[in-house]
Amino acid sequence: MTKAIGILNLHNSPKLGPLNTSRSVASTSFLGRYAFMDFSLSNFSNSGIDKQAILVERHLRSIIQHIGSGHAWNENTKIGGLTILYDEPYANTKGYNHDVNNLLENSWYLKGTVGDVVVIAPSHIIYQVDFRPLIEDHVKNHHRISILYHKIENAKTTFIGEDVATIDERGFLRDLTKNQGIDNSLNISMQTYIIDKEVLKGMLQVAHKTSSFLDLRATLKMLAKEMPIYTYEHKGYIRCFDSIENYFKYSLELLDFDNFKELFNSNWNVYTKTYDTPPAKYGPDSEVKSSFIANGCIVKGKVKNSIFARDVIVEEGAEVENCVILSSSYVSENTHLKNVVCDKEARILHEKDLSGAKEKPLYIKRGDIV
Amino acid sequence: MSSGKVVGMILAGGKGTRLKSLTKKLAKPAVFFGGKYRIIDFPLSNCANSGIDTVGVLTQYESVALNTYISNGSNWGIDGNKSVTATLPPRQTEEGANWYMGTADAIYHNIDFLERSHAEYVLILSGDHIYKMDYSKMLEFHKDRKAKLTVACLNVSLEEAKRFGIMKTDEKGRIISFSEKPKKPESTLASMGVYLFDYKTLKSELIKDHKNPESGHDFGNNIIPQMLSSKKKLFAYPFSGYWKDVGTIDSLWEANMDLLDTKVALDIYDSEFKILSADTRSTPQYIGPYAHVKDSIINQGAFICGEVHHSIIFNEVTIEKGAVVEDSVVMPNTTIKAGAHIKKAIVGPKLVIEGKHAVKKETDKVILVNN
Repeated sequence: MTKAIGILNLHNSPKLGPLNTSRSVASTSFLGRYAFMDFSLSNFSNSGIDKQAILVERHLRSIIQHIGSGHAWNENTKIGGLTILYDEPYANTKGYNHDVNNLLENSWYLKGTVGDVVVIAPSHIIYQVDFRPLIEDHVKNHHRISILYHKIENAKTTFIGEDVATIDERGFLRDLTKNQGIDNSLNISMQTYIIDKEVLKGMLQVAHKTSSFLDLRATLKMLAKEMPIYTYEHKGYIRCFDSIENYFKYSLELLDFDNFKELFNSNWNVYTKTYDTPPAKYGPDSEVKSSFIANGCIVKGKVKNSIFARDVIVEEGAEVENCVILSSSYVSENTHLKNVVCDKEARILHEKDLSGAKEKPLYIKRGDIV
Repeated sequence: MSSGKVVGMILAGGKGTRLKSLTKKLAKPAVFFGGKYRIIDFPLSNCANSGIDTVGVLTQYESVALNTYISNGSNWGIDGNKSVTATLPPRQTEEGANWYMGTADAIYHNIDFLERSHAEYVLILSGDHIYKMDYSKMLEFHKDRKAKLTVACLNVSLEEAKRFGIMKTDEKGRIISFSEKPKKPESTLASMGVYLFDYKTLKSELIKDHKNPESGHDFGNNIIPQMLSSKKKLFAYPFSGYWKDVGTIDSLWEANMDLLDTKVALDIYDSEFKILSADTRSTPQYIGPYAHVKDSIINQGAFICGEVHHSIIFNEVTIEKGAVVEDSVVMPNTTIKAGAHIKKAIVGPKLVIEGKHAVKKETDKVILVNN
């Protein structure tokens, strides 16, 4: 059986606005229960890829805090493992802090880890995929580099800045260009690659010798013209989380059960860190509709179309609608919130009526008292 | 915990016949409780929160499922570099193979485990009680009084006293008499089945008891009277928090309902004394557009589209639109179909309750719905 290594690539992650001032998309709370990185790591886990690494660009602390021992994503905790790779010397040097340099700086990882192919995936594009049949096909057909793409119909407003894959009739990649929002119907590269390990090591050298600023995406664009790079089409749920507006929109969209079913199915666990919080508690006068409520929450007021992370408290008489409330926040009595994204540990004590727009949610900073 | 190695020994071998079909294929301590937990999470979490790093779990009835659940103790964090969690089912030895014949007999057969653990104090616990307790305070009490055995106790009503080990103490708290399930209780000071022994005393008492062919090898019936008759120093440690033996369908239901009663002193929401448990790897809890949820506790992974009032709902439970659940406990992976009306019931795990299922009227008894 082909042995695969999974690398979660946090370079090239966009920012979810103010949510990402001190954390990356990867460790941002999603659906009240997950961090974004859980989805790619679980894709690895569920595909039997037990050796995993994370290429960290910045905000190392919040990544480490979420990962812990890494056992949540590993099948065998000794033969498998989750390694954090960080480009210490260049972390603060703009232009140099990219995935190719990170892998070169940590070249011991690819050298010392048993594997035939490397699967690279991002954390801000959320999808579900079983890599096993793709890896099998990749090996059987002697592809050396393969990329995953998704045909989308709304590229004028989504996946902006992501790579557009130009694919020939035989399924090989011809070019990668940036989506500038001009056309709607495009094949978007999912920044998800299957690469033979030895080929990847060679690629890193080629990139380095060409330009110190060449990252993985740019190297693939360059190589597409020189060698066969195969493409696999992905179907099913996919979203690119690239702004707080889209974060808000896509999160709430999953409250529609039909959308939810597309992302989650019972054969596909999404693993995450456990916090040992008690189940959610609802008071005698609570009214909750169309919401995800995480454990540890205590809800005494009204909640509609909202997502609560762990340990959120909503007091009596409060009304929360169309909101995403991150963990340990507090909504005091008789407070009305609408279209609000409330970061962790915020306390809504004095303002009794806060609302943003559906397209532009009001953001409340982490730990703030308002 | 302060100096002096404490080993926790949790008695978890009982069948729990009075829980009826809930324990058909499951030991009583593994029965689900409180939306997320199993009963044994409580004593194990108490140990973890009290700084006890070595715990033996004595299993016997349907031990495989329970042993698998306990595993290496990592769910309670009792798997650190100085920690040991060991499941101790009966085994074959050079002397032969024996089932555990009583609570004291179970500990007797694991003296070697206590020796290897370098126990100085041994805390004997039950795997089927719901309570939160910091045992380190009890240890301080035990040391202060230079006791050989300290028995945790609480005050019960005179009527309830008939179901407990009842003790009388002098003004300093020293136990002067003890009787197990007395017909005419002399006091209302009841044993919680939590015993803290000096290890050396425990060992010699267990050996003495083992040699006695008349003995039932039970802590309450045999060991404590044996120690009192030889004038050992036994003290009663007063405990004032919530404590409940969940040995029957009624008491299991009541203890679940107690979690919804803000006047009851069992706080599972205190983040400084968490009740730890296995993670269920669930999806987020979803409350649907037509759901009514009031006065309830609901775990992650639950799908609520119907009505839930004053109930405890576990992970991966689906309550369809048009289903009503009141004053009930619904265990993991059960689906309540549209049209079903469940009231004052414990619904077992992995069931599908059809829409035609309705509660009997005017009933006041707790109903068990299970296979």
